[in-house]
Amino acid sequence: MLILLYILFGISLVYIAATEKFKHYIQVYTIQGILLFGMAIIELKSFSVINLLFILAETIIFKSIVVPKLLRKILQRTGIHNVHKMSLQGNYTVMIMLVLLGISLVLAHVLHVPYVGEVYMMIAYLTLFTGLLLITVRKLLFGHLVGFLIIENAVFLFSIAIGNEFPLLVNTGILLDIFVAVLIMSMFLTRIGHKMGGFEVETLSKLKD
Amino acid sequence: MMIIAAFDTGSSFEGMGASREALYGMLLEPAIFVLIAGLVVLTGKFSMSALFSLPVDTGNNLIYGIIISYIIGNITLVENSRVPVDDPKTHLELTMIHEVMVLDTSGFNLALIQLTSFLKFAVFGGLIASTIIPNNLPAAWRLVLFFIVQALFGIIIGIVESFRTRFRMNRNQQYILTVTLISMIFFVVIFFSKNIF
Repeated sequence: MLILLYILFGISLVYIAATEKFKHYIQVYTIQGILLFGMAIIELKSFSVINLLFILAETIIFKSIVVPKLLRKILQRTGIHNVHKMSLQGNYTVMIMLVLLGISLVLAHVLHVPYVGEVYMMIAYLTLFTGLLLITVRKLLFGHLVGFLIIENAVFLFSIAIGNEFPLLVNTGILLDIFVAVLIMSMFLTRIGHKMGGFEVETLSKLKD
Repeated sequence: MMIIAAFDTGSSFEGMGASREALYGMLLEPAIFVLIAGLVVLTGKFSMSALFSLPVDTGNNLIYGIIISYIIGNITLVENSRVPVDDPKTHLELTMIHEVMVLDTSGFNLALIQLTSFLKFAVFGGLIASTIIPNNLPAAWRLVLFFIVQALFGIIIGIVESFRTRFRMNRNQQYILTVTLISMIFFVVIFFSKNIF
């Protein structure tokens, strides 16, 4: 079952890198939340109510319900639907993803930790690189926001891979991270974006004290 | 053979279709080979019939079967020139891929070409059937299930075609590369889970 979740998570990363519609970004992010919930539940060694509630809150409630709803609201307010015309085309991002998959594979093997599954690390590295790729190639702020959220998912994967007990401190940290990332970026998009007359990353360089 | 037949007409228009067909076939080859490599790692066998009948004792037979079916389904859409990659019923001849090559063919030859495309479609359906159906079932049951899977495969492809629009020509490469990447992910996950490294 875990293998299916790994592969589905990998497929979701491919689609998020290839698609050029922001609506699809949100859909894939929602699915990733559900997949992470499945992975966390299967990987969990010590089963306590608090841990279970935290996982449920982080994955299903935040990643699959609250954050996507917030993102949809941002899209409605800003009226942006597609990536910037000058952004790198899907053909090239998919090709870059092929290279990133190779790098993740090598990294997972070279930096192998005995008690962590290599396939787990490989998917976590690929998630991290996908987030960085989105931040690098997308020109609109919304793409960057989703890139940060994907990196959050990578951190979540690392945290389950390394800490089998899933410490409460890591949980709280991730929850706070998600909150801050979405709040700050939505502020940039909805408030500052309208004032500055655009939602591109370059407009942020005009900001002064 | 189709490409040679298209060149044989001497028309530059059919040559264009042949070059498109060759390009998409070439782009799709890595996806097929990587999928086969993944199956070799998974089953430890080297013959085509053994590769596509997954061992029942692994416990993940159905899971692997679903993923392999998904990849083969996408390959089928490209190889059989179906929507969203190609539209066999389009009236816009400049956007055709496969149909350009058969524009000058008629009668018995056209019937043979149509028949071969039906067979090609059935072969892909057969691959999916042999992957999904457990090989420890009695032969009669496997035969019945084979026809059910073939019928379902046709229906699902029909539904996919009905709800999707045709891609622009420059989007096709992206679609094929995506299938290749999914195939690679399948291969890498199988590779790691078998501890071969």
